[in-house]
Amino acid sequence: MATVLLADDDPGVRYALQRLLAPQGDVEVIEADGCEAALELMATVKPDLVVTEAVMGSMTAIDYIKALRRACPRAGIVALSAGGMHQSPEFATGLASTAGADEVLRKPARNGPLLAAVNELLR
Amino acid sequence: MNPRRDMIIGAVACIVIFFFFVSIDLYETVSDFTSEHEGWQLVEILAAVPTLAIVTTWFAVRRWLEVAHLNDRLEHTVGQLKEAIDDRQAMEEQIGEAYKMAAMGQLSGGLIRELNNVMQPIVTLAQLEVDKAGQSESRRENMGRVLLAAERGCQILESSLADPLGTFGEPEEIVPSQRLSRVIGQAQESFNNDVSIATRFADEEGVVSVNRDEFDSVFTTLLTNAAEAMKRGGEITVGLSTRTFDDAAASAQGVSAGSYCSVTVADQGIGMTEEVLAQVFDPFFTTKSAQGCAGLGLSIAYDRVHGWSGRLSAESAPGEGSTFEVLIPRHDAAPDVEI
Repeated sequence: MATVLLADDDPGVRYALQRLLAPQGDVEVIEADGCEAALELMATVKPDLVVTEAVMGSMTAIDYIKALRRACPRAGIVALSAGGMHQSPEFATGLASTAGADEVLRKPARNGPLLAAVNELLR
Repeated sequence: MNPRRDMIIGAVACIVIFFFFVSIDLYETVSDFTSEHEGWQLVEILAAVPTLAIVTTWFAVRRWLEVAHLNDRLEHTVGQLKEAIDDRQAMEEQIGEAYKMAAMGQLSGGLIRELNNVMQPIVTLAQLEVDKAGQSESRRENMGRVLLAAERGCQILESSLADPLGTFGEPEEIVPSQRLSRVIGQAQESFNNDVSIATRFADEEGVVSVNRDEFDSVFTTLLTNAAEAMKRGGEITVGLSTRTFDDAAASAQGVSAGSYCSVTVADQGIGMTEEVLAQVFDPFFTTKSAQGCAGLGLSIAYDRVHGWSGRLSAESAPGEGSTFEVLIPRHDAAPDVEI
């Protein structure tokens, strides 16, 4: 069974993406409501894949994605972003891609491309 | 240098010296001196006079040159000081502008983030419902409608708010007087009868290239603001003319050199103090919070006019009403026009 870490500080987004990802074959979805919780779970649970908002809390997208990568180098990373107070969604996802995310999508991410990225990285 | 003052000082000095000579009885003194030195030759006396004159002149000229040099240095220093003060004022204005733009950017950035997060569950869950097997046709159609509406919302978000500091729509050529007449007509209908709008449009106006919805929005905001400043009624005057700036004048206005369509909206309201005037375009600044105003209308109008490469400014004084001026680059003007 593959483990997917779903990290987002918006509970509505977590609910919707959990409903989207959970029925995808043999997948267990665990949730984190911020970057600190996500990094902790990343180090302890060692998921196969992370689907996460790139801009959360006080961490920059680059620092956060790099920290995720360090905590579990083998996990795939799909970074989504709604943007930040000082950056557009495109800019934030660009930073995430630079920092090493395997796939980046701006929010609201459509189901098709998001599931395609998840399935590709879990294969 | 002050010639009038120098003349007065010279005259006073002559009078003082005259009375000094009178007081020491100069004639007697000279007479006594010449009697005591009868042995001197006339040629010695005559030679002493120009010698003294030359030495005195030399000292005077040298002193005058020193004063002239100091005067030049003083003028140069004053010039440098004035330049430094002008630079500082210009820098403070630029910093003020930057703060306003940063505040607008932060406001838009936060709004985009919130809206994208709101749209994510709508898009995801609506698509899941549409794709779900065994749905009734009417339920599938309803969810399809939700998804369509969500997709439309996403398109607006992606295309419109993606560039929060830029323009919000496609520009088009507008004849300002025609569009303004339309906006004024709509505004007049929404005002009470105590507020009237007069127009003073110049014959020559040209065309501008801006989005018509943005144009309507900016002038509706200014007219509404003017009407709200005149609780006891009065007249709003909307002026339209052309202003042309050379490099120096454009720099003072904070725009590029060229020809501009100038639209003024003047009210007969209560006016603004200097403190209020300095903050009037700041996001969330309002003097009408009790009436539920968020203080965003003028800051958004300011942002949009800047997006047209124009300028929105205001002049006001307590009890003397306010005048807002919108400068919009003329689309039909030659780029290198001079005043």
